[in-house]
Amino acid sequence: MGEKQKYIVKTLSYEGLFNYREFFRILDVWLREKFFDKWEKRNEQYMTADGMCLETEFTPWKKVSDYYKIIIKIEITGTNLKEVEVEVNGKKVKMHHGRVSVKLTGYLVVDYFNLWQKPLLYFLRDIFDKYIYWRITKKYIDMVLDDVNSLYNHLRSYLNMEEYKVTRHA
Amino acid sequence: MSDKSTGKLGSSVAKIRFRGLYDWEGLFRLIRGWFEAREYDFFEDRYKHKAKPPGSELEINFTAYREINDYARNVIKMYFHIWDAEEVEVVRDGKKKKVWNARMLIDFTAYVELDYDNHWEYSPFLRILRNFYHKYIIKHEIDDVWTDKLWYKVNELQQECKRFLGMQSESDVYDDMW
Repeated sequence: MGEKQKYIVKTLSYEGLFNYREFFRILDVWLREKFFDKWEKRNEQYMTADGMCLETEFTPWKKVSDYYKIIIKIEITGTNLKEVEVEVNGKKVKMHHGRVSVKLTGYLVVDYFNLWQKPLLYFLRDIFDKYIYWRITKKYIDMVLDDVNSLYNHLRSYLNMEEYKVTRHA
Repeated sequence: MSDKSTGKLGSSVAKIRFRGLYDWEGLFRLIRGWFEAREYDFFEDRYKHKAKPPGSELEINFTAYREINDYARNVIKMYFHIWDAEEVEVVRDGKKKKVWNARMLIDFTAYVELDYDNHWEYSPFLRILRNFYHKYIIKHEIDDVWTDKLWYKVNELQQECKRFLGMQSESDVYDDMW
């Protein structure tokens, strides 16, 4: 694989009621809508005395051109998850109560076919990326930032973690 | 050097680690049925059972093949490593059932095997022709069609296994990709 450049890291953690299966599903739907290919690298589930623990690591990728590729590394850890029954609109629904933390890391992979690996070619490639094709490189860097921020907001809105600001009126 | 490995998906496509109660017989039947429904030839390569005081340790390998055409075929390999396995009796839907309480690792590996009958293996000239064929003539089919399709088939199988084990991190969003 070509050179992996890290541009953004975002983390969120939440403790409370949520449905883990639904949370996972909306993440998958978002990835598919944004044309990401899915790679579930690691999937763990085990029971402890305090509840269920889950660890998942994804590295979905999207080839945006034959030179640039976007990878978002998604690490989800759920701890002390307990199944509880709550009433939503008069209906009993099974949900999880526990803690979930998510870490999103956005990477831009350049030259993923490894065609520019020799020292002189590598140097030329870097000059091109940084000075001649900078606008194109910048476009894809912005795409990584946008995708990570969009996913971050999507997950936060599912977990109802939006901040409410008090605005003062004169 | 032969170029039969073109189209490989890497060492491991997916990994599942699970600890808890599960029906091993049911899981085996599910996997077997999944392969049979998709016309794969299914082989149980290894079944190693080691009885130990806290619980048995098992190592199991499955391989399944399916021809894409006369030249290429899909290969899916599964490796199970089970530790501390002990049989326990549980009551499910009012019926007593024997299930396993164990730790388990499932490793999925898959690749597209080219020239699986070795027709182009026996002389250097044929091997050069074969490499040329892979690199320039059917490169698009290998990378964008066969490998991609296989990738999502393995993902579907992985999701089926997770669903059967009752894991929370399962979804069917990518199941209809191909």
